[in-house]
Amino acid sequence: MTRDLYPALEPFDVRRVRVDDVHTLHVEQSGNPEGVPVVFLHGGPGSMWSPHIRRFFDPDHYRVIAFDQRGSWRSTPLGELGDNTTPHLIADIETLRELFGIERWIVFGGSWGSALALAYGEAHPVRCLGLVVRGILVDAPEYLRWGFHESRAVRPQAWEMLVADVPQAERDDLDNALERRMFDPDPAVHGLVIRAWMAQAGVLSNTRHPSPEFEDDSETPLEFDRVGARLSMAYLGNHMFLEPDSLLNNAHRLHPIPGIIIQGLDDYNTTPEQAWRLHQAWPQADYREIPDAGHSSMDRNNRLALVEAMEDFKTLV
Amino acid sequence: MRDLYPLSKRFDIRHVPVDDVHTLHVEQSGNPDGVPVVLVHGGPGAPWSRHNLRVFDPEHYWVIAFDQRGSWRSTPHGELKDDTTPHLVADMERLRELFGLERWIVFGGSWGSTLSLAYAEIHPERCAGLVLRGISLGRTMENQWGFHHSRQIRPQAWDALVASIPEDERGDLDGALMRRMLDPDPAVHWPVIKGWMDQAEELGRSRHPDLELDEEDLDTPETDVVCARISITYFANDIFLPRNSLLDNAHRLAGIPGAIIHGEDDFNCPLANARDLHKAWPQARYRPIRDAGHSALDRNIRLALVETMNDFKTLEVEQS
Repeated sequence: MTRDLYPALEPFDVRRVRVDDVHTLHVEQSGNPEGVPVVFLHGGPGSMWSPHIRRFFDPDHYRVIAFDQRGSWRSTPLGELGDNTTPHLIADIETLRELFGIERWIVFGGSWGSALALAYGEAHPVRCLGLVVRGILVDAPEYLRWGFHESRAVRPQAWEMLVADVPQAERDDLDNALERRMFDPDPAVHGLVIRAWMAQAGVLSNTRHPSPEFEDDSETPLEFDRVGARLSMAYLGNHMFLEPDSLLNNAHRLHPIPGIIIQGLDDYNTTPEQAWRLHQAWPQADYREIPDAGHSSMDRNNRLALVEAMEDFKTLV
Repeated sequence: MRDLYPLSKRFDIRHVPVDDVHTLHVEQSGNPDGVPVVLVHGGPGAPWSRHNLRVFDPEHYWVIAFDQRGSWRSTPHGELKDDTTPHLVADMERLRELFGLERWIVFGGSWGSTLSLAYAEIHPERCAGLVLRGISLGRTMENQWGFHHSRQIRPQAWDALVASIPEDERGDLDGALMRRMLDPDPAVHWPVIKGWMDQAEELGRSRHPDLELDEEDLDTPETDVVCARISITYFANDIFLPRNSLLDNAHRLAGIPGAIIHGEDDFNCPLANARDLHKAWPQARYRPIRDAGHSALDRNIRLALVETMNDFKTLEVEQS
């Protein structure tokens, strides 16, 4: 019998860390202060994350450092796009590692967090004790197009919802029409399209076995959805501020790092091809396809796989 | 919810010549005095499982099933001459007249849904009902999906499809696949056809397969080659109909009691086909099925088909 999440726990340390003249990050630590360090990278870019993520990690064994990325949630200034790129986030992860006096740590991320984990791992492989990535996102154009275009084939009504507010005449250049509306200062314009985009993402995430006790289904204030949408557009519209295809092209740098790749086969948000191509580029990693699971880390079969991965890492690392 | 009916004995099997070249395998089962249904199989060119007949209450329905031109037990096997959608529609009319029927219920899945739509739009007054599953509309978008975009969802299946296409031919993947599938040399066509069939199986994979129903594996290398070539010939010719005609003419279906049943996890025929059909034919009952793939025998599809045919028992199907 696979074990489920560890009991709920509170962080033993919460602080604010100033990373430059503009940005200050919200940072927390939980688990065992003497344990094996893990850094948790949240999704989005710009998303909030659930306190239940602390529970993937045995609190006697792991010290878990989690933080809100630049511009996200409790980091300030909220939604700031200046000096907010993948290289900046990688530098922040290094700042935190040094701040906590850690030589090497396990890097754990899902969705956008998997892309950032890969980018960090490729930039600083010697700092990684291990890499656990779930719901893989890489930076090839066809994957970034999926939500706005090709996903219509499998979830037509969610796509119709996304484009409902875009007049027919503007749909030939849908990417621009959506982006322009998301950045429009008027909430009457950006509110509808951002909510629709979030709702589409929810459908594409395709949770197969929801667990209400681990999910907060209260409505996110528009302010935070707006941050998520605009940060995501800025990152995805700029190849994640990386050289095109660099995450797969540089995957050879990950080869010496113990790794686990976890991918729900019913994930229509970060489509399974991305995990499969990562597996081909990094064959040393343990590639785990999860049947009957969508995108969310809290979808039952993903959740169990993530706990199991961190149990496996107790002996591997 | 009731599951499949027991297999009912076929009370008549015959061969029906339809022109100088083609002869069709035709069979009847169920109640000879019942409400007539014609079962339109998939492919084009594919064999079909007899378990498909079990969605019909054998006390209530008179089921007429046939192998389309060139398919399975129809002869000559794999013949592509005079094998087009209008020919198949004409064959259905011939069978209807042969059995002295004024009207019948038309039931088809996958390619069978395409052909059923083509038939119903040309002969709406002959259709007492139209039950469609795993919708395909024969559009370019569907080839785009299978040959290109579906790779995001089922990458290994796509890798199998293109494995035998050399890297330097992949710039025109559609052309390379079709050219090779139609090449007379088995050393050229077989690896591509095998990859294409394997991809189709993976894309259509059942969420809840039933081993008892699946044990009857009808596909052989010979039927695979026939099915692939007939299918490619149809798709390369826009299914021998004016482009987009099935959606453009869907208004002709407005008076026909109908149901559109489609698995939400069907990647062989993606859900957008069913959605687009429903928008063009809003009078039909639209049933996207959760946790279901492409096959008529996938549990949740099977149950929905049985339920629909039971609901349709209330239809009055006058023969004169």
